[in-house]
Amino acid sequence: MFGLAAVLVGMLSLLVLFVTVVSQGVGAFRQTELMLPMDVTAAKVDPLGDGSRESLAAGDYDAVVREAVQRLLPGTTLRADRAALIGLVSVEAGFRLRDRVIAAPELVGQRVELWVPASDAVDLYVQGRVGRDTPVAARELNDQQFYWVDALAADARVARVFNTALIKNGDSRNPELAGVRAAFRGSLYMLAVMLVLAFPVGVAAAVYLEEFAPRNRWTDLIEINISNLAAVPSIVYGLLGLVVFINWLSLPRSAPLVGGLVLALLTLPVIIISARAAIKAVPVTLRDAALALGASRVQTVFGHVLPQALPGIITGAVIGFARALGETAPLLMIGMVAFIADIPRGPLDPSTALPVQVYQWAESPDPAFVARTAAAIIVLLTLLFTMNLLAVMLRRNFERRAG
Amino acid sequence: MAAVTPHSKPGDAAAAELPDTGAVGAPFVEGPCIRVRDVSVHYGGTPVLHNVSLDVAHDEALALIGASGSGKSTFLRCFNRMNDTIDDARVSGQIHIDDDNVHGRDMDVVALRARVGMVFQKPNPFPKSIYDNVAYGPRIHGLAGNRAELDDIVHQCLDRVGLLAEVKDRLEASGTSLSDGQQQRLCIARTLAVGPEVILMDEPCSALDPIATARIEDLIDALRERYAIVIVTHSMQQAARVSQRTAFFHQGQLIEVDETDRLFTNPSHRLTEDYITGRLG
Repeated sequence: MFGLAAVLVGMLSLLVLFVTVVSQGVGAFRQTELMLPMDVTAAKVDPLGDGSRESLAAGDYDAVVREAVQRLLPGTTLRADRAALIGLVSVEAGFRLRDRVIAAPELVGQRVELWVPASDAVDLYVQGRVGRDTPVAARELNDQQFYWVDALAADARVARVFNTALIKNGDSRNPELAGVRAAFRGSLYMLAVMLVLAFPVGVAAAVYLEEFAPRNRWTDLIEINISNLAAVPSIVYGLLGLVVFINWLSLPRSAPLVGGLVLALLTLPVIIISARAAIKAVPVTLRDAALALGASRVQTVFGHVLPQALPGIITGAVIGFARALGETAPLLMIGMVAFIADIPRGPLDPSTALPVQVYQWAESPDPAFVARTAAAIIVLLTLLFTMNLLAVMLRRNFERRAG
Repeated sequence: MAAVTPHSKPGDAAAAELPDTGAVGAPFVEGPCIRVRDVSVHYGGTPVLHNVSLDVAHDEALALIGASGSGKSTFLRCFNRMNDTIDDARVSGQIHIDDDNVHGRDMDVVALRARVGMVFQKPNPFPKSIYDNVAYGPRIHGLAGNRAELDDIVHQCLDRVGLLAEVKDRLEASGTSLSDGQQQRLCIARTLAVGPEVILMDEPCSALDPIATARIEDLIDALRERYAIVIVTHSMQQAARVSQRTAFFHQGQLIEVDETDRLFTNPSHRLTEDYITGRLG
């Protein structure tokens, strides 16, 4: 009875968690865009006048965007109004126009209708998260700007589209440009490092301790220490990584390689303990069968015991990895809590991790980051669930093959 | 060779001119396949088998009977040194198979276990295909030069245990998909595949139904012509049906060894009589 109640309470809190995260984060997967008629005049975008790539790259596209907004919403001659007007459009708009023109230079001299991202404040208004009844202190737009957005919407120039920036970009100070890619890459690199290091080392240690090590005081000591290591707070591992990998071995700061090494150390005890349990669970009759046929100890362990224990070992390892990927504290100590706008290209590039990204966005005062924080949580949870699913499938596969 | 221990006092001196075994009846035979002399086993500090001596002839099935904990399984596991896998087990005394000392320094355990096969209480096929189950032994011992030879060995061994007709269309099916009785015959086929001289069976029918049991017993009778068989059993009927000689163990001591017929009809030792009449154990 109490057990059932406990399960229900657990399920309910999980449900509440999911509903909050999804309802908050789902908005961040869509981004408001505005369609602006851009007059791509040679005078503005082709300063050298030769139509070359270099010349087009140096053009003043922001001016084109400004002009386009002003054309759409005429009658704003006040300086302050102009500033408010340009505040509707993301700084990304100029870059997008530039990329478009460089890709297709024949557009110079034409009028181009181009969808460009709106600023995050407009996005919040279009989503209905702020409005005219929102206290002025809690909103970035004034009533005039709301009116302009409504006017654009009436002209079918406002749309919400899939937010590619969230998937394609690194971190940014502008919420509408901020993405999780750098953090996602960082997490993947760390996962790869863990997979390469912690899994084989952990399984090898478990096999040795369970099958080959003599039972004496030394192995007892090792066993106790493995259990102790599993209970060490994760931030201590971060400190260890700082001292050993960065100070002694001079590995770069903020690198996923170091993060992966630290997380590998963190998961090692978990992997060893679960792998030993899985090996211990292999029935003794199977060992006897192989040994009685004249198989050596090594043949028995690697030919029969280990394949039989593998599903359990994999499950344990994936749970360990998933937990490690959700760790923030140890990364704090090795400089992976940083503002990373560039996508890392390798495990030595400065990077961050998904949980760290969540933490950083959660700290941001900009209301548009609230939804993005939830979106980053959704991405993190999706990664972890995918890993667990993969583990279950691998396990099924091995179990079927093992009969 | 063996000293008389205070534990093993024979009822009468039946085997006067042969080494003193402590057991009554006829523990020794002419030209034995296996000679066991004075074997004791300790687990940790606890003695579980005291000074056992007996012979096993070629082409005979020797049944080991006795209550649970009487040491007969422990004794069986001395022949192929399976007691090595138990950390604190210590075996003393000597076992010779065709004059090779089982516990000698120069004895290779891998080679020994190829010569002395073992079938366990619970059918324990590998979680692999039927084919691979039988082929595993020949593969690790390098008994087959090519695939055709291996196929031959597998088919022959499955045929000898009467399994070939039942499984020949599904050799790739998992060994664990067979019925219990078939699994046990598969385990016997697997043992035969490495070409042993001796086959040890540790209560091979205790997990099987009567029909499967009858098939295994017939098989034991057929195998006896080519292999020395030592079988531990809890069923005295089974011992009577399949064995030529029977050894009775009681509390770690070998009490009596004799022709199976004589032991069951006219036991020499009080304890044997009590056990087979159900007053003991």
